[in-house]
Amino acid sequence: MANDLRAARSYLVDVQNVTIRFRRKRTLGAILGNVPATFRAVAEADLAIARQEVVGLVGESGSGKTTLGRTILRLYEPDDGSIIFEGKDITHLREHQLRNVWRRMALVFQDPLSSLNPRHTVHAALATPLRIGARVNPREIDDRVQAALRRVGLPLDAQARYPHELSGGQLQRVALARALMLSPALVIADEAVSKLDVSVRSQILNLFKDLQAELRISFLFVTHDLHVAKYISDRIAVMFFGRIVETAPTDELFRAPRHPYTRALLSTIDDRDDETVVRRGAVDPDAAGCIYRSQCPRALARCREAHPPTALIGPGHSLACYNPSQ
Amino acid sequence: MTPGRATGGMWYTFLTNRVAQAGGTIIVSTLMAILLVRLLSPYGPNEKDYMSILHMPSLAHPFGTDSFGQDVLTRVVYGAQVSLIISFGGLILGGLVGSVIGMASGFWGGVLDAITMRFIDLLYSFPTYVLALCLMLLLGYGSRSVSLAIALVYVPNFARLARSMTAATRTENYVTAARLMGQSPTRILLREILPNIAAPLLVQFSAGLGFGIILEAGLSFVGLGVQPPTPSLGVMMADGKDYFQKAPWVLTLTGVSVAWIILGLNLLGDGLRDALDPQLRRRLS
Amino acid sequence: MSNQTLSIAGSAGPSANVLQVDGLDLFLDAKGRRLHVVRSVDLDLRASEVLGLIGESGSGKTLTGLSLLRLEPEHAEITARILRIDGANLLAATRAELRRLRGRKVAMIFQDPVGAFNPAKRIGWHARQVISLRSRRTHGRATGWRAAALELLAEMDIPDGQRVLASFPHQLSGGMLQRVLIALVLAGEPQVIIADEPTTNLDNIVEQQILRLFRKMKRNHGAAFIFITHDMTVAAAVSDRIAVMYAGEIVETGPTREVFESPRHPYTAGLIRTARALQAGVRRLPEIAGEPPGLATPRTGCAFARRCPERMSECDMGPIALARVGATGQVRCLLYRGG
Repeated sequence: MANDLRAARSYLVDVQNVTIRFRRKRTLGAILGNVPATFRAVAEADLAIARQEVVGLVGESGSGKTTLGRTILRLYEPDDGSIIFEGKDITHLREHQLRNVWRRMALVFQDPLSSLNPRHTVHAALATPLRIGARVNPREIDDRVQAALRRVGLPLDAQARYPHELSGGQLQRVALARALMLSPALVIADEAVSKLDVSVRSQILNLFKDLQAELRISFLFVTHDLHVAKYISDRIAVMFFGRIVETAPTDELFRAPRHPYTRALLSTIDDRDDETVVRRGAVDPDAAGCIYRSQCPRALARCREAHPPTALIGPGHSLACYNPSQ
Repeated sequence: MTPGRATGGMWYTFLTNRVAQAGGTIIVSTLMAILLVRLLSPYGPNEKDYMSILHMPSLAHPFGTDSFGQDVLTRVVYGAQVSLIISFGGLILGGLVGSVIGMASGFWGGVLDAITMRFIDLLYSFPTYVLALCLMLLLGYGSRSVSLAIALVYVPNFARLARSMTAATRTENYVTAARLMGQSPTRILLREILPNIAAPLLVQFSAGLGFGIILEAGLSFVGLGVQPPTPSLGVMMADGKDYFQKAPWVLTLTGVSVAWIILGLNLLGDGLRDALDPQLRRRLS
Repeated sequence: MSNQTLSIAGSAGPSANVLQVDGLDLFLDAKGRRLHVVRSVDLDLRASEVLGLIGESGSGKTLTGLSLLRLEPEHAEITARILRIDGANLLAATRAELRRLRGRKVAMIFQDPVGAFNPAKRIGWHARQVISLRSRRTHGRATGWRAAALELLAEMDIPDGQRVLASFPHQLSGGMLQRVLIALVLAGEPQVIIADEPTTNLDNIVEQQILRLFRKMKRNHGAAFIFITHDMTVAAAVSDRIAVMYAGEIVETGPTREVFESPRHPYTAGLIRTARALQAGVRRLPEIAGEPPGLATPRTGCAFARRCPERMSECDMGPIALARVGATGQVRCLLYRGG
C-alpha cells in the first residue's frame, strides 16, 4: 500500500508506516487502573518530502507533529516502519552513524533562546557546525560566519553578542543561520514563528521563504497555525492524535478538504462559524477503529472496526477516511 | 563590545555584590595577614620561649602564648595556611572525581548511572565525620590522609550535584542542537554542559573549603590529622582545650579565627552563586 | 498628558461607566532602574461592553490588566488620577476592601486556567466556594449550590456537568478547564471581567468554541469584558471596541469595525495588513520593519517611530498626545493632528 502513494522514487525523505511509542508516566492511578505502559505518539505515518518541497505538518497540541518531525531527524527511533533519507535507510542507525546524516538535516526550534547555549556567543554558535561537521579551515570560519549573518539580515556586530542580549526575532535569525551553516538538504522548523511577536513574525516567515527559494532546500514546517502553513507550504499534512489523516497540495486542501477533521480545522479560520463541529467526547488513541470516530459527524458503523487505510485520491492527495466529504 | 562580555558581566555582578564584597574582604585581609605575619612576626611558629608560658594577650603577643610559650598569633597564621592547603587539595581532588562521575552518570544514565549513584548514596549515608575517621584509620595519620579524607567526603556531594545538573541540562534544546551538529558526547559535556553547570559546582567548592577546614580541625583535634609540632588550627585547638581554664584565649582565639575564615569563604560562595546564576541575572537585567 | 480629551465621546457620562481609568502609570523596579512600563493609559468601559486590548509581549497589556485588580507585582508602583470600578476607588482601597472587590466587582481569567484551581480539590469544591459565597450575599444563606453549578456548566456547553464536578482539575483538558473557570468567574457576577489571553494556549477548534462562549456571555450576562490578546483576529471576533497598546502606551482606540476597516496608526495598520494578507493567501507578506523596543529603551517621542514607514522629523521631538479621530476613535500619531 505504501508504494502506490509514491509516484516517483526521488523523494528526499520518505517516512513509511512509522509508529512511535512512548512510555507513560507510571502514576499509581495508571498502574492500578491497568493503563497500558506505553502509548502511540505517532501511528503508521506516511509522509514523503520531495527535493525543494515545503511541506506543512499541521495539527493541534498533542497530535504528534513535533514527535514525527524529530523522528525524521532520528532523535527518536521508530518502533515500526522506516525512514529513508536521500535514498538511505536511516531507521535504525546508531548515533555515530547519524552524524553524517545530520550534516544534511537541521532543526529550528520553537523557542530560539532555548536552542542557543547561553554561554556561547553568536560567533561560537555559528562556527561550531563548521568546526565539527565540515572541518573548515580556521581562517575561513570568520568569513563564513559573517556571510551567514548577512544572509539572515543580521549586522556583523551581532557575532560578539550572547543570546540573552538579542531580541526574539534576532535570535530566530541566528538559529536559522546556524541551521543553514552546512547547506543542509532538509530543514525541519518546529513552530518556528509561534513564539515571536506578531509584528516580527512576517519578517521571519518571509526570510524562511526567501532562503528556501534561494538555497533550494526542502522544508518541513511543523505548525498549529493554518495561516502560516498555507503561506509557506507547497503541500500540507494534517495530523490528529498521532495519525496523518489527510495530505494534499495546499491549494487543494484549502479549496476542497475531504477529511471531516480537516474540514473542522479549516472552519476555524473561515467565517463559516456554523460549520464547526463540536467535540463529542474524549479520544482514545489506543482504541480500535478510526481515530476521529468519536468526534466525527459522518462516522459509519465500519469506522469502529479499524482505522481507515491511507489511499491516494488525486495527485499528491492522500486520505484516510471511509466516508469523506465530497 | 568585547567577546568576553557575559563573563565580564558575571565578574561585574560578582564584584559589585555586597555579600561577595564582604566575603572577599575577609578572605583577602586574612591572606594579607598571613603574609604580613610571616614577614613581620619576630617569632617562628615553633619557637618555644619557656620564659613566657601562657601569657595573656598583650602588645608583644596579640593572641597570647601557649603552654610552650609559642606565639599563638604566629601559630594561628601558619596553621591557617596549613589547614587551607589541606582543605584546598582535598576539595580539588574530591571535586574533580565527583564532578566527572556525576556528569558521566547524568549524561549517559542507564545502568552506569544506577550503579554509580547507589555507591555514591552509600558513601553519602555515612555521617561525614565517621567516614573521614574510617579512612584515616585505613590510611594512617598525617596531612595527606586528611586531604584524601576530605576528598572522599566531597566526592558524593559533587557527584550528586553534577549528576542532577547534567541530567537537567542534557534535555535542553541547545544540547539537542549540539548533537545534531554532530558533536561527540565528550565535547558536548565539556563545551555545552560544563559551562552551564560550573556555577553551582564552584559554589559547592567555596562552601566546601570552609567545611574542609572544620573537618581538618576536627581530625587534628582528636589527634588523627596533622601531627604536632606542625601547627594546624585543629592541633592548636586540641592543645588549647587542655588548659582552657587557665588560658582560655588559646582555644577561643583559634576558634574565632576558624569561624572568621569560614564566614569569609561562605560569603564568597554566596556572592559567587548570585553572580553565576544566569537565571537570577536574567531576571535582574 | 492627554487626559482631558479622554472620557470617550458618546458615552453617557462617567456614571454609566463600570470601569474608569485615567492616567494609569506603572513603574517596575529592576536592578535600581525605574522602568516606565505602562504609560498614562486611559480606559473606560460601559456595562456589558467588550474591549479588546491588543499588544505584543512587553507592550504592557498584561500589567495594565493586573493593575485593574490591583494585582500588580510587588516591585511595581502604580499611579493614576482615577482608577474606579463601579464607583469603588481602587487606589484608596485597603487590602481587605480589595479582597472583597475581587471576584465580586472585578474578576480575572488567565491564560493558564490550571493555576486558578487548587489541584487537591475537585471542581465541585471550587464551585461550592464560589456559589455559596454568592447565595449568602443575595439570600443571606447558602442554597443548593449543585443545581446552580450544573446550570452554569450547561451554559458553558458542558453537557456532563456531574462528571466534571466530580473531577480533579488535572483530569480535565485545558479547554474544559477554561470553560469551568469562566463559569465560576461568571457565578460571582462581577461587573468587570478581565480575560488575559484566555484562548492562546488552546487548540484552534477549542479556541473557536471558547470565543463563541464569550460572545454568548456578552448577550446573557451584563458583565463588561476586557479581552487582552496579541491576536488581531481573536480581538475582532469578540470585541465591541479595541485599544491597541505599543511599548506601554495606547496608540489607537475605537470601535472594532472602524479600527479594522480604517486603522489609523501605522502600527495598527501594519498588524491588520499582515493578518489580512495571511488570511487572503498572498505570495509575500507585508512586513513591519524592526522589532519592538525593550522596556529600558529610552525614548523621546513616538515609540514606534523607528519602525514607522510614515516617520517625520517631528516624531522624535516629544511625547505625542492622543488625538480624536472619527466619532469615538483616538490615535496617538502626528499624522492625525487636529482630527
